[in-house]
Amino acid sequence: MEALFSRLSNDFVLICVYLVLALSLNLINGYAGLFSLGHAGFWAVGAYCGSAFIIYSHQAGPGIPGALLFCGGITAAMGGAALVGLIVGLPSLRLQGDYLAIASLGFSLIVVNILNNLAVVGGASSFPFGGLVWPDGALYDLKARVAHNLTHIVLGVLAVGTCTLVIRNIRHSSHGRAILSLREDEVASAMCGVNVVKYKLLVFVLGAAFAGLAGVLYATYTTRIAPEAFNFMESVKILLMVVLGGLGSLSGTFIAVIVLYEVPELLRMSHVTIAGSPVADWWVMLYALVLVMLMILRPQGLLGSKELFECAGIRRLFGMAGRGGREA
Amino acid sequence: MTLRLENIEAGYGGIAALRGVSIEVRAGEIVAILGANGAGKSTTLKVISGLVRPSGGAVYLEDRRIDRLRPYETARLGLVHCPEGRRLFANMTVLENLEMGAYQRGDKAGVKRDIEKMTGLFDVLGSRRAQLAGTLSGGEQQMLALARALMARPKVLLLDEPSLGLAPMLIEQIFATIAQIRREGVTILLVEQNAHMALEVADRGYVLETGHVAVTGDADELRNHPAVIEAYLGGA
Amino acid sequence: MTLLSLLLDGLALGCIYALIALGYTMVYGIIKLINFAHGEFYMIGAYAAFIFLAVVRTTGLAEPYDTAMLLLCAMLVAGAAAGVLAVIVERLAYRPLRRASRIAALLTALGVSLFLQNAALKVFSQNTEAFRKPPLVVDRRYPTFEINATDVRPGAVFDTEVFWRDDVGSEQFLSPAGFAISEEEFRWAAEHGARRFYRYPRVTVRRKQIIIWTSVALIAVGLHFLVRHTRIGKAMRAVSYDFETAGLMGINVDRVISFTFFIGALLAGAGAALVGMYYGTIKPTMGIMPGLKAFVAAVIGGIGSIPGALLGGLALGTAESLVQLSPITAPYQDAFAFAILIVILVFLPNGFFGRHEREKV
Repeated sequence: MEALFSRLSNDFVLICVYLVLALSLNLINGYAGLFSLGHAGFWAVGAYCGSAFIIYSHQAGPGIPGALLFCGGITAAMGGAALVGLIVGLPSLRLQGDYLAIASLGFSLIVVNILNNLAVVGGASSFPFGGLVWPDGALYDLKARVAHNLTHIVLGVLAVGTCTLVIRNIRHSSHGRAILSLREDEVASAMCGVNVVKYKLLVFVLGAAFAGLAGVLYATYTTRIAPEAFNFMESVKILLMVVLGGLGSLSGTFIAVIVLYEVPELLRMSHVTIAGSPVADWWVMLYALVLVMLMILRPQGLLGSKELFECAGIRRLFGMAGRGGREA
Repeated sequence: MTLRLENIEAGYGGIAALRGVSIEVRAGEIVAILGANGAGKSTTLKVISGLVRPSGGAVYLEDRRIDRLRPYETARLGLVHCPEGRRLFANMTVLENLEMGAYQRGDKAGVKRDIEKMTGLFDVLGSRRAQLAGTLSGGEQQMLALARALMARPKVLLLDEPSLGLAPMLIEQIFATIAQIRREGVTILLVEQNAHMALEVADRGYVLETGHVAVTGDADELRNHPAVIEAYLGGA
Repeated sequence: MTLLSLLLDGLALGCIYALIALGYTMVYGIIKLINFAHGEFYMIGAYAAFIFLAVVRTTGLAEPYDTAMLLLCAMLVAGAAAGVLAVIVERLAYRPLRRASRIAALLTALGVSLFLQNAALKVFSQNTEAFRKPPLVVDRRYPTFEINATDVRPGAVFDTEVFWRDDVGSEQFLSPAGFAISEEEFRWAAEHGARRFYRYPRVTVRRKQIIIWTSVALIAVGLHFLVRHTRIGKAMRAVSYDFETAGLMGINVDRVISFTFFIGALLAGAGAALVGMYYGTIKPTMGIMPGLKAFVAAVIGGIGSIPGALLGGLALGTAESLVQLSPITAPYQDAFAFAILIVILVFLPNGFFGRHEREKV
C-alpha cells in the first residue's frame, strides 16, 4: 500500500515538474515560435539557485523556518532563471529558427559545463555535499516519505495551476496576440507596431522563470541534484512533450507530458523483453523513432495549436456545439 | 515536337491556379501565352516541366505522357524550361552556367562547340566567361539565361517572361533571338506580359484568365481581338 | 605542456573538427538542414574502422601489417560505412521532410541522432574500445636526438625524456625529464635489446599528428577539386544555390543530395578512423561532442562555406588548445567553444566566409 502510494505520488510530482517545464517551453516555442533547445538549462539554473539559497541560508541562520526558506528559494530560483533567460533572450533578438535552436542548445551545454566545475555547488558530484544539509521539515526530509510527498503534491498542483493560469491569461490578452504574431511573421508584426524586442524578452524571461520554479520543486523533492540530470537529453524530452502535444496547445501539452512520462515508467515495470534485454532499455530508441515519425506524419503535433475542447470530436463527445454552431 | 496539354488542373495548397487548361504547341511553332498577373501562365509552364504536379488532366510530348515526370526527367526529354526571373546560378561563372545548361549532354566536343556558338550569338558573354553570373547586368543575365537554356539543345523551349525588366532595345534583341532559335527548328512556348512583342513573333496565342483559356487564335486574330486589345495592347 | 605543443595538438584536433564540419556545411548548404546525426555518422565510421582492423589482424589478411595502405583502407572503410548510413538516413528520414519546416527537419535530425546513438549502445559494448592501430601509427616523435650510449647508465640524469626503440620500432620509455634512470628500467631495457638511446627536445611533433595534417590537407585539396571542377561538384553547387532551376537543367536533385550526404559522411568517417588512431579509443557516445564542436566550427567559418569549415575547424581546435594553457580555464573548454558559437551567431551570423544573405521580406 505504501509502495503504491510512494510510486503514484512520485509519478505525480515528477509529472507536475515536467508539466511546468513543458508549459513554459510551450510559451517560448509554441506561442512565440522561438525555437529553444536549451530549456533544461533554465531548469538547472533554477534547481541550483533555489537549493543553494535554501541550503546556504539554512547554514547561516539555522533558526529560520524551512517554509520561509522555501519561499526565498522559489524567489531565488525564478529570479536566477529569469535573469539567465534575459541573457539567453538577447541573442534571440537577432537569431531565428534553427540558429536560435543551436544557440540555446549551446547555452544549456555551457550551463552544465559550468555547474560541473562549480565547487560551491559540488561540481560534478551531487548537491548538497559535505556538511551542507537541507533544513528540517517534511518539505526537505526524504525519510518522512508520506508527508514529504504530500507536501510536494500540493506544491506541484499549485505550480502547474499558476503556470497554466498565467500562460492562459497572457494568451488571451493583447500581449498574447502580440506574442502569437511573432510566431507568424516577425517583420510584419514589427511593422504593425508590436514591440518585438520587448515581447521576445518577456517570453524568454517568463518561460525561464517557470522552468526555474520547476527546478526548485525538483530539487527539494529529490533532495539531491547533479548537473548530469539536466543534460541535453532532458531538453529534447521537454521539447518532444511540447511538440507531441502540439505547439501552442496547453491541453495537448498536458496529455503529452502524461503519456511521455508514464509510458516509459510502465515499460520499466513490465517484464517484457526485446531481444533479451528489458523493454525499458529500448525506450530511448523508441522515443527517437516516435519523434521522427511524428515529424514526418504529423509535424503539427497531436492537437496542433488547438485546445482539447476546440476539437470537433471532443465537442461532439460532450454534446457541445461546434464553432459557429447554435450559439452563433 | 508537339506538346499537348489536356484539361490541366493545378493548384497550390488548395487554391486552384489552373482550372482545365488545354493548349497545343505544334512542332516548329512559336506559341504565346498571354494574361494578367495570376492568370496561371507561369504555373502552366511549371506543370509542363514538372515543377508543379497537376491535380488533373494530362500533358503529352508527342505521344508520351509526361505529367508524372520530375523536372530533370522532362529536361532529359528535350523540354527545357527557362524560368521567370532568370534564376541564374549567381555564385557560378558565366562559363559554368553554360556548362550547367548542358548538364545532361554526354558529347563533350559538342558542348564545347555550343559554348563557342553561344558566346558568338551573345557577344557580351564571350568577354565575361570567367565572371560570376551574379555580377552581370540585367540584360546580360537574360542573355545568359537564354543561352544556358539553349545549351541543352532543346527540342521544346519554354520561355517565361524573357523581356521582364529589360530596356526596350534589349527587348528587341531578345525577340530577334527567339525568332532565330525557331528558325533552327526549336518549338517554343512563350509566356509574356508584353503582348505586343509576343504576338509579333508568335504564330498563335492563348489568353489565360483566372486559370482557364479565355481566347485563342492566330497571332493576327488575337492582335485584332477586341478583348485582347483592350486588356493587353493598351486600347487604341 | 608548452604553448607550442598545445598548439600542435590543437591543430590536429582542429583538422578533425574541420573534416566533420565539412559534412555539416555541405549538407546545410544544399538542404538547409542542421544534420544533428552527423556526429553519429562519424561514430559509425570509427566502429567500421575498428572492426575492419580487427578482422584484418585476426585473419592475417594484410601482411605485413605495417603499411600506410592499411591505414588508408581503414579510412576508406570507415568513410564508406558512414556514407552508406548517411544515404539511408537521408532517404528514410529527411527526404519525406524536404518541404516541411526547417524546425521539423531539425527535430527529425535530432531524433535520428538519438536513435543511432542508442542503437550503437545496444549493438556495440557500452564501454570504450581500445582502438588497436596498425604499428605504422606507433607513436613516434620528431625531432629525436641520439644520445651517446655510454652516457646512459643507472643514476644518470637528463633534462629531457630518454627512450629507446624496440625491434618493432615502438618507442620504449626509459626515464622522465630531470629524473635519474632507475636500475630496474635500465636492466629491463638492456635485456630487451636496447642499444641506442634517444631524447626529445621540449617540443616535438608526433608522427600521428603529421598523418592527420597530411591526410586532411590531401582531403581538402581533393574536395576542392571535386566541388570546383567535376560535373557532380558543379551540380552540387547548382542545387545548393537553387534546386528548382537545377532540376530544370536536367540535374537529378535527389541524387545530388544523396551524393552530398555520402561525401559529407565519408569525410566524417575518415576523420573518425584518424581519431581512433590519434586517441586510441572509441565509444558509442564519441560522436556527440565532436559533432557539436564541428558544428561550431562550421558556424565560425560561415555555414555553407567549404573553406570556412576548414578554417573554422582549425581555428576552434587551436583556440580550445589555448584554453588548456591555464588550469583555471581548462575545465571550461566546452563552455568556451559554445560561447564562441553564441557570439558568432549573434554578431557574425554568416561567419567569416559565409554567403551574405539578408532575409527577404
